[in-house]
Amino acid sequence: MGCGKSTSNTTSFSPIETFNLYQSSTHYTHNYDIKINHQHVGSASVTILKGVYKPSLGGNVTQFNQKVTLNDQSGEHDIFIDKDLYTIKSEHNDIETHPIIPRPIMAGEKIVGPYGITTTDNVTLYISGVHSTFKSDNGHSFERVIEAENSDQTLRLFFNETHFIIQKEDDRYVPTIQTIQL
Amino acid sequence: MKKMMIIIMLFGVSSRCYPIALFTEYMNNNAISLMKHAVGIGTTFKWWGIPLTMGIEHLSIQQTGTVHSPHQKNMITSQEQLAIPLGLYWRFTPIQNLSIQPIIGIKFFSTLSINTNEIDAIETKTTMIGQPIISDYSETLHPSLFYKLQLSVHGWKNWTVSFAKTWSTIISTSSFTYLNAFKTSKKSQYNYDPISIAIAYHF
Repeated sequence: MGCGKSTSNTTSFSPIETFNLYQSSTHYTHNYDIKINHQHVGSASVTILKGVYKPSLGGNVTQFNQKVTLNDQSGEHDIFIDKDLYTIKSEHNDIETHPIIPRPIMAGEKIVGPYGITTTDNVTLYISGVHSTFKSDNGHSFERVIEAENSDQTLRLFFNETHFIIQKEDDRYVPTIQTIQL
Repeated sequence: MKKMMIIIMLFGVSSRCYPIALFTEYMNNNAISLMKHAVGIGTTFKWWGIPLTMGIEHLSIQQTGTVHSPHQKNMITSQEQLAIPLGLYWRFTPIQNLSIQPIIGIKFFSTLSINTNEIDAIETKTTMIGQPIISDYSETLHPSLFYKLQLSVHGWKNWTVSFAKTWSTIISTSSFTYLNAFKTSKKSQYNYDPISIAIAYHF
């Protein structure tokens, strides 16, 4: 388990059959703080837009937009996801078929997506556990949070159905945390 | 460091009473193929009554993990190294023509070359903003202890064949600047436990 604070976490849990990324609305944005070595260095946002029509990608897709601002400079990265949450598409014609959210969600299942903090590459993580409650780096509490990490335990993702990405941790370089603002 | 290696070489070759052993190593029990090859030349001698072993090795290391995609939290770039192992040995001869020789020592490294294409690939990767993630990337190998157990069979005339098992750790420090602002370094540690075979001639 990663360095996120949690209670009642377990690595053995019943498979979670449903995960509805689109349940609340057609469009939502969450904002995040970015800290490197515990210092606030920037901000980020994740916007999910469903029902985006992209003929080049075969019709309606869900747009997953990530924006990062560091030192007053910004950049963003889009991926497009099929309704089944399995096919990640970019506008550069590289289509990869990966479970951005595996279903059922169970320990050891692979999850692939742009889950680094400053980078845009799709990284591979594995579901490692479920936290009945999880306290994020800026002190907010969340329920039923799923944790995934890479095989090296240098990247961690905490997410749930209500907020999707709650916190990302990237220890490949200097410890970097992106955590949700409520 | 390179001058020192040449002096050791001349010392060994010009000697008329020390064994000169040529050896090659291969890894047999590590899950990763860190070492492409390792070959060397070595000798044993007594200095003020102290039994010493010394040599020169050429090591060819291959890339195993990078800072962007570590392998078991470790990273090392392809590189060629000259190494000088310096050790103390004890020799037991349980039966005629067979000797067992435990060795404890330290190995010093000098970089001959490092793969600049791999370094460039590390440094050209950019953030979502378009800045380099990593700049000023470099790697250094540290002197490391090794333990060796050698079995030697004394054969025809002055020839000896030896088999050895070595236990050692290769420690490399990668230094870099993250996002043009955070200077840091990461230590990588690889077990290197090869078996080696050597043929020696006693001058």
